[in-house]
Amino acid sequence: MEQNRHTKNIIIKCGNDFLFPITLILGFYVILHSHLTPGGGFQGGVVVAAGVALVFLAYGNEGLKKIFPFPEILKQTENVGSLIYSFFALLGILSATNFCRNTIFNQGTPGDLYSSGTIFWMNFSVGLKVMMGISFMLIIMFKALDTKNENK
Amino acid sequence: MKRFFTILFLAIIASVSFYVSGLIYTLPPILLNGYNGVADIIVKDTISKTHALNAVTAIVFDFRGYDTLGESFVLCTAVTGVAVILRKAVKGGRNDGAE
Repeated sequence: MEQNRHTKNIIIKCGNDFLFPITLILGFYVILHSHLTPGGGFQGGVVVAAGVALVFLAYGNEGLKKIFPFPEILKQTENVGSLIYSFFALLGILSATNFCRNTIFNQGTPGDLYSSGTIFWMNFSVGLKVMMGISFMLIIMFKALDTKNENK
Repeated sequence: MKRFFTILFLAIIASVSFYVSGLIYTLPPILLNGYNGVADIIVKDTISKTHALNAVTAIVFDFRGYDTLGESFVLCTAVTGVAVILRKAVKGGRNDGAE
């Protein structure tokens, strides 16, 4: 059991190399098409964040440190996502109606990729936020896990 | 004495629940004159009001947008709490530089 944590299995590495791009593409598809097909910002963000767990399973903390050398950037990007959401919620007040009102909904025909106005942008911002937040949380937890193994 | 109070409160709770469940039958039906509240609007006017084909996304991000705003702030607070709790464990280990 102790050796398996340091020397990774070749099957897990090859499976990760095969599944990682598919996970990212599926997650971004679910985020961007959430007003047309089942899914949404939360679900797509969590699917993208599962890619971080895949990288940890295959390459450990060293691989995570190569991909994300500065994890604080993820936390800052999450706050930018919530600012984008607040801006598109304030668009209703700027156009003299109530908060969170969808005032630009008649852009494009229903069924297009860019349609439904603020729903598209709110989905994008929530997807960005969940993706970055869960990734940051996973990286922090994996690092804490590693130091606990180191102390024993 | 304790047993007496237990039985008393149980009797009060039982009588109140029987009374309320009897009252439910006297309420008017929810579907009154074909009007079903906000559910009717959401089911029938989703595409004309929001141009979104997925009705669930239209509810979550348009009709209940304020709720989703609070939900995303809850996530932000949770991530901040995890970072604060695990900060020392990460800093003291081999892989430092993540706080």
